[in-house]
Amino acid sequence: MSSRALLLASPGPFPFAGHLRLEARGEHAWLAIAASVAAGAGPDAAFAPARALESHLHSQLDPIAVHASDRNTLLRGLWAALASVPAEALGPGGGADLSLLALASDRRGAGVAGVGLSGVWGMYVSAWEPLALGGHPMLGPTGRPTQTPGALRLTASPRRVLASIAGQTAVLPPVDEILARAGVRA
Amino acid sequence: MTPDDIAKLELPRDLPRVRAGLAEMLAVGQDPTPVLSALAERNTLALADVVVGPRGIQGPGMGRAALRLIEPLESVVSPSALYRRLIQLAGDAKGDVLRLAARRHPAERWVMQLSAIAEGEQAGLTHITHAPPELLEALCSAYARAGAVDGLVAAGKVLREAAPTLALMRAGNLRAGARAAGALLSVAAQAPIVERMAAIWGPDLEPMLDVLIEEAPNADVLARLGDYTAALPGAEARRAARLAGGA
Repeated sequence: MSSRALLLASPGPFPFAGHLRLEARGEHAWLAIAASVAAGAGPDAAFAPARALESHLHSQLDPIAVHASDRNTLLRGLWAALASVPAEALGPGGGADLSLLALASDRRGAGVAGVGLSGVWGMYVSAWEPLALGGHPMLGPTGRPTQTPGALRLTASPRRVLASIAGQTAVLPPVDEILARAGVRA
Repeated sequence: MTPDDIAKLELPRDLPRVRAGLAEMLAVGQDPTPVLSALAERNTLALADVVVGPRGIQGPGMGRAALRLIEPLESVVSPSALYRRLIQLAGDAKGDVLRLAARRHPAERWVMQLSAIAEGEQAGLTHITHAPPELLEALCSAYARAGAVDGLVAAGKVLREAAPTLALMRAGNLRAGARAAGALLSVAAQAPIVERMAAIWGPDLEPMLDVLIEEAPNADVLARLGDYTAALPGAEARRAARLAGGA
């Protein structure tokens, strides 16, 4: 299971309700995704939408990844796949509460894109650096995008990217807590 | 000895006679409660001395009788010391002592210590299952943080509640949480416990499901876990292998 794209947990007793994470890898490009959907519906109601979205994205992106020549193909495939999920599969909000972070990489660099995020950081060697904070155009409200979002172009692919969900304060946790706060288990 | 005898005694001077009389009653299987009630009415401190004092009479008969007089006893002895002493003296009735402590003082931390003394590996079971529902989560968390496992697993099964499993998960004990979840699913197959575990654990479900598969108590629970492993070929293979192995 990929843990190159990470979403920080939400506060509360069920911090990872509605969270999912996946990766689609091809020979020339690969894509890591972390997302949260239907979290506000609670852990029981959020589970199925998260799994449905995970399964849908896998089914759409795995074949694309096999033939993708570059990262942009994967990002376009991601937005197309997101648009094709039936709203009713995404929980009571129909996907209006979706947060998603994507890291697409190829030999020439990386693209970071997302929706429903309040802050994004990248880790290159061992230190985390802010990639998008404050009024950055990549940050914005939750929900499936109505237009294809842009991507932050990076000349070198970070080892990991991390984001906080829209509505949550964009503060990087203490370094030794980051992976646990993103649900990465040893 | 009869209740009327108590009225004729001089207390505390005659306490040795009371003890001797009670010991005789217990030896022949008589219920000492009426005599103890008379003593309570006459002199509550004398009652406490006879029941839980340094020369308190040991055994389940005396222990159960003492529980019927718990209100006067609590009026003169601090509950934590009272129940601890009763546990020491009550022999086979120590479960009754713990149940009463859990009902009367469910939020008190010393009940946890009492539970550990009385129940050992099953610490928490009686306390959690006899406390009011509004304390369930807090008690499960306290026991999980204290390292209790078996009692939480059993409590979740008895109550058909997710709280013990979730407390173990939040305490970082996945394997114990998986045991508790398996026990719960064995009596409440449709309980949405895996969903809630996942919401605590994080999005990488396969390692969690692997432990659930390892800890599943029977084939029915393994079959139920199939609802969650369908999209994870590795976990599904391990589940199928355990089922095929005669789980």
